[in-house]
Amino acid sequence: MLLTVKIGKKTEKLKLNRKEKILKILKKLGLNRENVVCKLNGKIVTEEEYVGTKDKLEIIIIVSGD
Amino acid sequence: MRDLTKKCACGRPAILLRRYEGRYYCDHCLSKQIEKSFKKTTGKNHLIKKNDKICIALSGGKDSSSLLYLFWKVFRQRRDLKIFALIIDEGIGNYRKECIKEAEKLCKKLGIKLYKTSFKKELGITIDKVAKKTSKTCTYCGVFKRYLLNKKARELGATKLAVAHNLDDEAQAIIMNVIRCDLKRFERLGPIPGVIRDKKFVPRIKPLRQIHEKELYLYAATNSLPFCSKECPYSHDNVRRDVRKLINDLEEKYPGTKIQIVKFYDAIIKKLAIQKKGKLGHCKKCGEPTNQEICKACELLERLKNTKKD
Repeated sequence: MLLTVKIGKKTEKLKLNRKEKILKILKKLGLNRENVVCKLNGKIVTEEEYVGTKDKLEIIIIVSGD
Repeated sequence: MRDLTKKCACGRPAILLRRYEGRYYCDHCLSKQIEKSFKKTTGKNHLIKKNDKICIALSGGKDSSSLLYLFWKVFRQRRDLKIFALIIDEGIGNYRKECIKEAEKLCKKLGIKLYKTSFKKELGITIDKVAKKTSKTCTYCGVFKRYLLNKKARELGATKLAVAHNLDDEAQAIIMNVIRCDLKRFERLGPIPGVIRDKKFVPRIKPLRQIHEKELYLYAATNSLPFCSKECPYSHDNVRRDVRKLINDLEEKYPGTKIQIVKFYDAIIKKLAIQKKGKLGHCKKCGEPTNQEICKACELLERLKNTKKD
C-alpha cells in the first residue's frame, strides 16, 4: 500500500505495510523533526501520530529566518 | 475523520510535543506559553521602558510577523509606547516583494504603521547585483541590513529596535562565534546586544531569544498571521546552515540542547563579567556609528566597487 506525502512542493509515494508513526516516516525521508511541521488530513499534529494509506500527510519544511 | 491520539493537558488535540518538558501542547496553550515567554524575556531584562518608541524589524517571515503580533497583543494597551514596523527590500528578485506583501497585510490587520526602504534607494545597490560580484552575499546582506535598520530606526525616532532572533538563531550565533573564535561578537550576543551608549546607535532588543523556531512557526500559523515562507535564493551553503543542521541533530538526540547552549552563554557572560559598555566612534565616510575608522558597510561598498567577480 502506498502513502502520498507532500513535502514542501514535492509529492512522494511511500510504501506502508501498516499504520506508521509520522516520526518513522520522517526518518525514512531523512528529515529532522525540529525542522518540520506535519499536517495530517489538513490539521497540524505532533510527529507522534500514526498514519495509514487513507490519510493525507503534508510535511512543511520550516524556512529559517533572514 | 478519526480522533487524534495525542492530547494537551486541557484535552484539546496536541500540535506540539515539547520533548524537553515531556508535555503535549494544543494551539491555545502553546500560544499562551509563547506570550508568557515573551513577557518574561522583556520584563526580566528590562527591554521596554516607559515612553519607548519601538521599531520592529519586519521581514514578512514567521519570526518577525510573530514578534509584531506579540508586541501588538501584549503592549497595545500601553499608551506611553509607540510601536511601528520597518521593512527593508534588499533587492532579491521577487522573493522580498512577496514578503513585503505579507508584511503589509499583517500591519494593515493590526493597524500598525509600516515604513519601507531599500538597499537600492539607500545604498544604490541590490543583492542581486552583489551576487554577480561575490559569493559571500549573506555577509554583505547582513552588514547592509544592520546598517540600514539602525539608520532608519534612528531617523524614525526609535528608542529601541526589536529584532526577531529566536532561540535557534541565538544558539547558532553562539556556536558560530565559538567556531570562529570571535570574542568580540560573542560578547555582543544576549537579550540586548551591544548595549553601547551612542546617540546614533539604537539599542537592539531580542524578545524572542527563549522561543524555539518551530514554536514560532506554529504560533504564526495557528494565529492565522500572514507570513512568507519562501527561502532566500542566496541562503545556500553558508556556515549558519551547517551549524543549524548540527544543532538540530543534537536537539533531536538530546532534547533541550538549544536551551542549554543559550543558558550556558548567559551564565558564562555573567561569570566572565565582560564589559559590554564601550564607546563608539563615527564612520569618516558616512558618519554612522562604528568601532573602526570606516564602518563595515562603507568598507564593503568600497570593496564591491573594486571587485569585478570573485
